Amino acid sequence: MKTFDEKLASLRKLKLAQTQEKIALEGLLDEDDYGRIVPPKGFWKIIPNHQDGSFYGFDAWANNFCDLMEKHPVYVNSDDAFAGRWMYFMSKMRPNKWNPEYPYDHLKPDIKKYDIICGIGDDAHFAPDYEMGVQLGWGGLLDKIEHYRSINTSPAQQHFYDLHIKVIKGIQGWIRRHIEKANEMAMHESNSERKQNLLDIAQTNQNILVDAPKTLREACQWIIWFHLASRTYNRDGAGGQLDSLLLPFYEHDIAENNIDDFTTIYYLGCFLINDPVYWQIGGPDKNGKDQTSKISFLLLEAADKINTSLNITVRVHDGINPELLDRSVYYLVKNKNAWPRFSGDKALVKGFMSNGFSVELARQRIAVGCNWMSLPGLEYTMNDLVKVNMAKVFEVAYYEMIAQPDSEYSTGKLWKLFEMHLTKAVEVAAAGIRHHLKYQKYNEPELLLNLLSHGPIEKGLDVSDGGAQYYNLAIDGAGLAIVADSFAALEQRIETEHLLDWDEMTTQLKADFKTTNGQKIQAICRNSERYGATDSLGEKWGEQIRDIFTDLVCKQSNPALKQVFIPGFFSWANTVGFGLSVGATPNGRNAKTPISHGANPNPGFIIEGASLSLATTIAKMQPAKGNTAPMQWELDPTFAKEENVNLIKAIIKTHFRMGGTLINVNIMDKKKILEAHKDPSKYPELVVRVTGFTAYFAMLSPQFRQLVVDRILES
Amino acid sequence: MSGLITTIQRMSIHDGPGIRSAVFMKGCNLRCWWCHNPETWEFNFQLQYINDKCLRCNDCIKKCEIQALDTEADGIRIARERCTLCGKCTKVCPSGALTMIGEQVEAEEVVRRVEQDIIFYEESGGGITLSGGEPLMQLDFTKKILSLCKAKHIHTAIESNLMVHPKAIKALLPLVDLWMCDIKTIDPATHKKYTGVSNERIIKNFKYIINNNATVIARTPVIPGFNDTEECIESICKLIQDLPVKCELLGFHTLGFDKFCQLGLTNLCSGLKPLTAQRLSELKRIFKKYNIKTTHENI
Repeated sequence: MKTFDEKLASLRKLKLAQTQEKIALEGLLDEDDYGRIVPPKGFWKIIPNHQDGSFYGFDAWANNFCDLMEKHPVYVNSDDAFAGRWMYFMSKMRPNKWNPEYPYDHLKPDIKKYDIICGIGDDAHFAPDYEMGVQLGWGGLLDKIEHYRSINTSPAQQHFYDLHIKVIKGIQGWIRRHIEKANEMAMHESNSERKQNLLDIAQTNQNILVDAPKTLREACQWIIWFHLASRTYNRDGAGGQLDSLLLPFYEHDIAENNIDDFTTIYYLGCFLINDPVYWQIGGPDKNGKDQTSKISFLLLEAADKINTSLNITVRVHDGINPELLDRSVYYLVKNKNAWPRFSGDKALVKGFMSNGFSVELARQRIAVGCNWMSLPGLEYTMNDLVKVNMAKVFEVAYYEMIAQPDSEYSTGKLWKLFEMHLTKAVEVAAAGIRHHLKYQKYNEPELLLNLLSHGPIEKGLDVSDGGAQYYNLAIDGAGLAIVADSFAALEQRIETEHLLDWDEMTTQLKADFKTTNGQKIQAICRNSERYGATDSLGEKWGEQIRDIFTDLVCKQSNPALKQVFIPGFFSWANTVGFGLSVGATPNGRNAKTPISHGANPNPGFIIEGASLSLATTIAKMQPAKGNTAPMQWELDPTFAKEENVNLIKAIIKTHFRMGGTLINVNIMDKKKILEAHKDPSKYPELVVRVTGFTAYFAMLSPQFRQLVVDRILES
Repeated sequence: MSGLITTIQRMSIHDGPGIRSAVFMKGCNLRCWWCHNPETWEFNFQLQYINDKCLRCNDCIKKCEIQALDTEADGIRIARERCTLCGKCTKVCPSGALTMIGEQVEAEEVVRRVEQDIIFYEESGGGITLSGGEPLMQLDFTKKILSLCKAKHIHTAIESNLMVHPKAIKALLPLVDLWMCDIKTIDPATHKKYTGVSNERIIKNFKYIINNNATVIARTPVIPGFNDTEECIESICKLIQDLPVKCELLGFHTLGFDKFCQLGLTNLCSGLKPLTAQRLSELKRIFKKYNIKTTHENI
């Protein structure tokens, strides 16, 4: 008879094998692991409805999704408490992601010029309300749709409801096939314990096929189905406040003597290994009361047992249960596997309130995405989808200045040009968002996330099209340190010290420092007063960039349309791609090399006390409007030891006291990361937090691995 | 009031409780063979040359007006006997290979730089640690820094070799929250051989501080061939077993070796291997035998 721990260990081993299979068959991927497994070859293809081979609009999405649900392979494992895995990136299988009937050619020249990731046609990246899901169940959701179907009677609305009903029935069909499979496997299973588990899986799923879940196992399984379906539909990976979500079911089961804590940890382990969805634990409820409960700790224990590429965030606030923070940091240090991460309640709440929202609402905006916060079920955000490559904007400004007579050259003049081009870039990014909002329903309606949002079903409108209660739209700036250090190097080395002149700098930039004295000039540039060091020129320029970017993004808000634009600094995994479009920069960076990460300083920015400098600088650089500028913290393993948990905790808490919003941590031995880079297959279990997401190191491309290695080596 | 420092290290975690800022004073009256901060020995500026960083551009040689710099097979050779420490070469060095160690700085400026981290001290129970070098060799400067810190409620610690006049210690007693004092060996002759001074005054001052109710940590750097025997550690234990102090054993390491070459100094411990963790654990057990409390065990 297998113990729960043995079952979890077996699932973990299987998960690693599945990841290896993914790498072998599909190649490397600079993204989240997602928990997805490889589908059978050629098993399912999209059904196009457009001559370009893609599919667009309500009907096509419903048809494709339901066809896939009908055919999607089933997945049942007798060691697992739950059924189901997802296999298809349906949204990524389209050859084209934007409906060509709604062109944005007028924006394309500037999108290219400023290297903007415009987000047009991108999906998800806001949070569903899982609480609504577990309260209503599939049957309750169908009843809700029928209710509003009888109120909103226009043909378009009736069709809208028909398609959502179709989607739910598609999911129910998928679940039903798992019930059949589990029963069939049980019939052929000779081991009585495994047989019973398979029958329990079948019964759990039968219980939630229509009705709302009543037990912890049913609630977890229901949540799994929704996120598997939503992942399949369009990769949505947002979670919710997991401890509060599961607490009533846990308490019910404990009161009924259905489970003990060992069983709970087993369920939670199986739940977490299913998919590294972004879940938050701890933090205040809307009234400010700490939400930590017994199950918060059990979740951490379960996470410790599976120790995969998890995306659990601990919300740190003044009233946090101190033991929860202790345990969280303990597991971070013990496993050195980049989880959990930490979000800072104080600055997030204050920042969000500065947009005119109440404190109660601000507290409900939780960490459920890579770098982002969301109000579950209440808002449409385009979080982490729209980014302005500020390094590219700087380059445009620099060469525009250089094209003018040389008497005009100065950092003052360059700043004016940078400001002008950044203004244009932000306007273009915002125009792209508006274009997306106008036409996304004809491109890719959110048939899954509409179900767990408050508004789309009630109004008969897609969440992108007025269905949501709030439109809090994110635009992130990328490459802050590159631009700040470049301005600093120009001011210090040309204007103050006269070590270089503008012509020499331009010559070196155009030659990518590959001249006879290029190495020397590059060293001069790299050793200027860098962003991240206290009282440095880099910091001065960083603050100016923060202020102008924040102001420009906020100016795009339109109260009449209930559109609030919220700035952040984040580059996700786009640091490599953004870098490719930017030539050499005055901070000594070579052409086409990655740009800096979010609001982080360039690697090697300071020799000693880097953690404090990082924590201080990034806290200072927050746009402070409710979105994040995460602190990407490469923690030295010689420091990250159990005896230093209190010191690590102190840095986390202090960063948040100073205004920080999110901390992502890697604890990586330099020797180990170098060995893993040389031969990733030797370290299949090594997890790194690439940006906001964790990934198996072995899944990353060599170029991206190099980026992570550089960051760790120079930390 | 100004003084000479080498650096202010943010986030020092081995120099007292919590997260601390360690101010390294320049100038020391001892010459311990195993010192890993030889840049703090001189009461003057020192020119440091890091060969690995050197781009071989020779701009420094062109800049030196007294021809104290020259090329050699692998980088730059410094004629230190001629060098006037003017620092002009460091100003033109593009890569930071040549740097001038030492900064003459006002006590107020030290505190201004340190107080940016008050928020970290508060959260972690940390503060400022004056280290070196020997802080008490710049008594007025040290006193001023400590007074300013006390006024700002910053926890103060000092690392001292105690080879100073008792008056200096007396002057600082009200300003120091934690004394970290080296007890390297009990034997005066061995002490003199390896540090340049005998230890009678040190031990006398050590007892004086304790008798004045100061909080004290006795630190013993454990150096192979110098004091890494059971007998030597036992004799230290006997000295402190009835005193209200905590102890730390600090294992010898070689992390400072490169600096000797970079500063043109002779490393008398060259070739010595770091003390093994196992040996350190064995010696730590002696403290337990004598019922002496130790602080963080990993140092």
